[in-house]
Amino acid sequence: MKRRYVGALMIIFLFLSGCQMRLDVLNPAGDVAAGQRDLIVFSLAVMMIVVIVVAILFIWFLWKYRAGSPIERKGQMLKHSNRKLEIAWTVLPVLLLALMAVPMLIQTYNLETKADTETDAMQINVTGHRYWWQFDYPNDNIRTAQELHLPANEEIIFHLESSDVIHSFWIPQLGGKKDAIPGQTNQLYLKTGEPGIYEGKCAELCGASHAGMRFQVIVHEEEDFKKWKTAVKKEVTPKEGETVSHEGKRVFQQNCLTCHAADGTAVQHTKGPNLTLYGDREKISAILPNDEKHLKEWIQNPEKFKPSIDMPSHNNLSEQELNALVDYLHSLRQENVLEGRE
Amino acid sequence: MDKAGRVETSSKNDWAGSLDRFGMWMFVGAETILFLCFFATYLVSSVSTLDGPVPKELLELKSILLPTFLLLSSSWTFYRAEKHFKNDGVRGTMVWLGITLLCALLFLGFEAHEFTSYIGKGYTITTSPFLAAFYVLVGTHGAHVLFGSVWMMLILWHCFRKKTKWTNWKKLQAFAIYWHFVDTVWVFIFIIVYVLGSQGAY
Amino acid sequence: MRSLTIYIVFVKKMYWKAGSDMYSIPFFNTEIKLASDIIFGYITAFILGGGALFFITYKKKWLILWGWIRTTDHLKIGIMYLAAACAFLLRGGLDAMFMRMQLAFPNIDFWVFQGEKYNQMMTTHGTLMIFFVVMPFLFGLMNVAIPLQIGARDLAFPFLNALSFWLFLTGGMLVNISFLLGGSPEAGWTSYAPLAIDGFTGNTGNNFYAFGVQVSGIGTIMTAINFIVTIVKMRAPGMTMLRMPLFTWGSFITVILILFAFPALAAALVLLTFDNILATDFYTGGPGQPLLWQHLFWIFGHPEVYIIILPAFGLFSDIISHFARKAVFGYMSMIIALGLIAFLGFMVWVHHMFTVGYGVAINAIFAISTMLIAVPTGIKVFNWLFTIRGGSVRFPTPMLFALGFIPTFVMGGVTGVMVSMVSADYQYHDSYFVVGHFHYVMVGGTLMGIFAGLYYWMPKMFGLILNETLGKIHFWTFLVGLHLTFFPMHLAGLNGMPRRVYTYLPEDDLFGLNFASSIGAIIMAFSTAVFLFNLIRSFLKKEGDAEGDAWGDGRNLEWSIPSPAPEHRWSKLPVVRSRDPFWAAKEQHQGRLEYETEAQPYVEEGNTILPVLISGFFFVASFGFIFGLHWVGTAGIALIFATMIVRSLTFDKNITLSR
Repeated sequence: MKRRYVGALMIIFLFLSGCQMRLDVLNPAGDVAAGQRDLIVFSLAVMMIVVIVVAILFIWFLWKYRAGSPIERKGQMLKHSNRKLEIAWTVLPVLLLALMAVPMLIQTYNLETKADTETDAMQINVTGHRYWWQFDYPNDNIRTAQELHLPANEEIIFHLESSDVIHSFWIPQLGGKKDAIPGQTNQLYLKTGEPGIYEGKCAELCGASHAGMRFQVIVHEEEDFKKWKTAVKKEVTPKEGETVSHEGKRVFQQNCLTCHAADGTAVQHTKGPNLTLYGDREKISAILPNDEKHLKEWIQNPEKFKPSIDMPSHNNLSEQELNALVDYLHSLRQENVLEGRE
Repeated sequence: MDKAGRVETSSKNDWAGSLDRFGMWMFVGAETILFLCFFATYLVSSVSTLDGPVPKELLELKSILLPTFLLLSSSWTFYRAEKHFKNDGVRGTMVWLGITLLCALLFLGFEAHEFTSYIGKGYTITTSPFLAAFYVLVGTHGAHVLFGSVWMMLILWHCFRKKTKWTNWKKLQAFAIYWHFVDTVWVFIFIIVYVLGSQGAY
Repeated sequence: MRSLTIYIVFVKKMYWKAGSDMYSIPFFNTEIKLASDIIFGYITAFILGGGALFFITYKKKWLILWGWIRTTDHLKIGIMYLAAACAFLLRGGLDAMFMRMQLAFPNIDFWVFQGEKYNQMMTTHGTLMIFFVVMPFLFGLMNVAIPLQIGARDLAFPFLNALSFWLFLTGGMLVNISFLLGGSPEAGWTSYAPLAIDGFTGNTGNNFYAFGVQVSGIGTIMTAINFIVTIVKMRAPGMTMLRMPLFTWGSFITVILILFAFPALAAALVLLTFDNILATDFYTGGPGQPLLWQHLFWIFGHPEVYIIILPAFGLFSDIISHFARKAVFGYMSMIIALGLIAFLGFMVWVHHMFTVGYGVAINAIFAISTMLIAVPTGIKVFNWLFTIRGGSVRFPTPMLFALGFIPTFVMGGVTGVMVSMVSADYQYHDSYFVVGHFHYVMVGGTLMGIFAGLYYWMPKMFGLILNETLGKIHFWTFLVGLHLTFFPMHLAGLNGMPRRVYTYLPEDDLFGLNFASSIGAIIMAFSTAVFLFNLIRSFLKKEGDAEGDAWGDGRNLEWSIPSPAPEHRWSKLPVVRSRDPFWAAKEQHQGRLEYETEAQPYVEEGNTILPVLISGFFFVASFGFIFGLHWVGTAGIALIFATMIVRSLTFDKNITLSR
C-alpha cells in the first residue's frame, strides 16, 4: 500500500529537482495575489493534516488487520458504531472548516468591496474579443490591445466587458480572475507591485483559439509609465487617402488600416487590436516572438497560429512590401515615436 | 408492468397505493422542477422585451378567464369520473371522462387561438426573450394538456372495451395525478403570467 | 531550455499533420469535411461495424441478439448498459489520448487536434465520460445488483427500464456520430452560452449535443423513477429500509437526486435548442441572459457530481465490509451522511460561477455550503477506515480498488475544500487545478468504484471471476497512471495553465508537468487494455465456474443465489430479519436463508420490440431537427407517440401473471 505514496513523492521530487519549478500563482507580484497565495498555502496546510491523519490510520489499520495477522480482534472493535468517535470526526472537521472560513470570508469581503468602492484607484476598461484583449484608459483617452501597461504599486479597478462570448480575465501573478460577460460589466480589483512582465490569460473557453487568447502585463516604474503614456498618445497612424512617402507606412495604410491603428489615441480603426508601439512589444499577438521571421509568417498566415482568427491572410503582399511593412511596424518604438522619427 | 398482487407482502408502507401511482407521483415531482425552471426563465426574461410588447400590452385577463374556468372544472369532472368508477358505474365514468376531454380540447382551442392571434400581430417566438419564454412556458403546459387528452382518449377506449377492469382502475388513478398536476400548473401560470402580467407587476 | 527546443523539433517531425479541407461533401444543412481524422473515423466505424455483423452472422448469433434487443430483464439490461458504457469508455479514452498527445509538448501540432478539433475532442471526452460512461456504468451495476440485493424479482417497470436503456444508447449514438456527420460539439461539456449558440461554434455539433444529452436524459429520469419505486415498494419481506445494503442506499439517494436534477437540464437544453434552431434569444449576449444557462446547467450539474459518486460510495462500503469480514461501521451515520450530501448538493451550484461577478454575499453563502459538504464526506471516510479496524482484511481485486480509492479520494476531497474557498478560487477557477481536482474524484472515486463493481459482480453476471493476476496488474498500473496523470495538473493550474487550452508556450514552464500527465495517460491506457484483455480472455476460457457465494464471506442477498443469477432469480422471496442477511444465515442457520412459505403471484413482462422502436423514432426525430429537416423531426415525434399508443393498446398481451 505504501508504494503509491513513494510513487507520488518521487513524482513531486522529480519535478522539483528536474526543472526549476515555477508556480506563478504562488509567486505573486501584487498584494491581491499575495493574499490569495497566503490563503492557498494556509488551506493546503490545514488540509494536509486531514490527509496525514487518514493516511496514518489507513496504513496502520490495513497492516494490523490484514487477514492472517496474529493480532487479537477484541470485542470492543467489533462494535458497529461508536457514538463518541462519530461525534469526534463530525465536530473536528467542522472546527477545521471554521478555521479556514474566517480568513476566506474576510479576504473575499475586502476584495469585492474594494472592487465596488475604491473610486480613487486607476480605472481600466477591458473588452474581450475573440481572441484578443482591448484595454481602455478612460481618464487618459488611451486605447491599446494585447499589452496591458500598468504603473507599479498602484491599485487598479478593471471594468470587464465582452463583445462576443464569455471570456475570463486572469493575470495569475497579480491575482484571481473574473469573467467578461457580454451584456454586463464586472469589476475586478487588483494591486500591482514590483515592475516586471507578467503573463495574462483568458480562462474561459471562448472558441478555437482560446489557448492563444493571451496578453502581456507590463508593470512600469511611475516615470516609465508616464513616458509610455505620452508615447502612446502621439498620433502616428496614417490617415486614409493621405499620401505617404514611407513605403512600409504606405503598405500599412493600404492593407492594415481597415482594422488596425498604430497609436493609442484611436477611436477609428478599432475592428482589430491596436498596434501601438509595436516595435517595443515582446510578442506578436501575445503568443509569438516579435522578430522579423515570425512577423512575416504571421502576416501571411495568422490562421496557422490562431485558428479561426478574424484576421485574413495577406499572401498578396510582395516580398518587398512585406519587408517594408515589418520594418515599419518594428520602427514603432517609444524613442522613435517620441522623437518623431519614422 | 404491475405487481399489485405482491405489494402488501413486500412492504408495509403502502401509503402511495399501487406502483403506478407512486411512479406517477415521482414523475410529477420531476415535472415540477421542469416547470419551475420555465417559470424562472419566464420571470428573468420578461424584462427583456426589445421591440416587442411588454407583458402588460400583450396579456389580457378577460379572454383567459373562460379557458381557465374550463380547465379547472375539468379537474372536478375528472373527479366525478373516478367516483363513478369506484361505484362500478363504467358508463358514468365514460360520460364524465368525455366531458373532461371536451373541456381539455376546448382549452386547447382557446390557446391555439390566442397564440395565432399573437403571431398574427407579428409577436413571434423570436421577437423578444419575453415572448420566447412566454411561448415556452405556456406552450409546454399546452403540450401537457394535449398529451393528457390523447391519454384520456386511450382510457376511454380501454373502458369501452371493458376488459381487464383492474388495469383500467390503475390507469385512471395514475392519470388522475397527472391531470390534477397539469391543472395546478395552470393555476400558477394564470396567476403569475396572466393576472400579474396584465397588471404590469413585472 | 536549448535541449528542450531541439527535442521539440525532433518530436514535431514525428507527428504527421494532414492537410485540412481536402474534400467536403454537402450534407443537408452542413457539410462533411474529409480531413484525415474523419476518414480514419469512417474506416474505423466500417471495420468495427462490418466486423460485428460478420461475427454475428458467422457465429449464427442473430436469434440470440434478437432476444437481447427485446429483453426487459433487469440483469440483461444491466449487462447491456455495462457493455455500451465500455464501448463509450474506449471512445472517450481515445479522445483523452489525443488531447494528451497534443498537450505533451509546448507549441506542437499533433495530427489535426488543434483549435476547434481539439475543442471537439475535449467536449466529446467530457460529455461522453459524464453522460455516457459513468452514468450507464452505474445504471448497469444498479440494474444487476439492486434487485438481487433487496430481493425483488425485477424492477417496478421493466418495460420502462428497457426504454431507458435504449434511449440512453440513442443519445450516446447521437453524440458519437456527430464526429462523422458535420462536426462534434465544441463548446465544452458545459456548453456555455453564448459560445454554444449564435454561430460562435458549429451549429451541427451543438445540436447533436443538445439532442443527444436530452434523449438520454429522458431515459435517465425514467430510470430514476423506476429505481425509486422499486426500492421503496418492492423489497423482500422484512427487508426494511434500514436493512438495505449501502450500495442500494447510495443508489437510492442518487436516483432521488436524478429525479430533481435532470429536469433542470432538460429545461436548459430545450431553451438551448430553441436558441439554435428557432433563433430565439434566451441565452444570447445582448438581449438574453448568458448566465441563465449557467444557473440551469449547474442546478443540474452540481447534483450530478454527487449522482455519480454516491453509488460508488455505497459500493465501496459493501466491498470493504465484505472483504474485511466485518459489518459496516456506523451504518446509520453512513445513511445520514448520504442524505446530507444529497441535500447540500442542491445548494452549492453557484460555486461553479464564483467568477461571474456576483457580490460577496452570494459567493460567501455558496462557499460555506460547499465547505460543509466536506463534513458528511469526512464521516464516510472515517467510517470506512473503522470498518477495516478489527476486521480480517483480504485483498482480491475489488477490494484493492476500494482501498486505492480511499487515499485518492481524500486527495481529491481536500482539493475540493480548497477550491470552495472563494477568494482562493479566483485563482483556481477554470485552471488545470480544477481539472486535476475533479479527475481525482471522478476517476479515483467513481471509475475505480465501477471497476471494483465490475470485478465484484462479474460472477453474478457471467458465473466467472476475472483473472486475479491480471486484475492486480490492472489495479496497480491504473493507480500509478491516475496519480501520474492528474497530480501534475494541480501544479500546472498553479502555474497559470487555463482549462481547455490546446497548447501552451515553451516559456510557460509547463512542459514537464504536461509531459508527465501524458505519460500517466499512456499508463492508464495500458491499464485499460489489460482490463479488456482480462475480460476477453475470461470469456474465451470460461475460466472458473464461480459458486453462488463467489468471493466467500458474502453478506448480502445477492450471494445467496447461484452464479450466474438464474433466469428466475427468486421462486420464493427471502424473508429478511437483520442487516447482512446472508452472513447472519451462515452464522446461525448453516447458510440457509428463510423464504416465504408460499410464493405470491406476480406479473411478468415479456420481451418486446417497442422500446427499441420508440428509441429509433427518437433518433429519427433528433436527426431531423439537427439537420434542419423539420418535417422528418415532426414525423419522428409523431411516430414516437404512435408507438406509445400501440403500447397502451397492446400492453396486456405482453404481461403474464405468474405463480
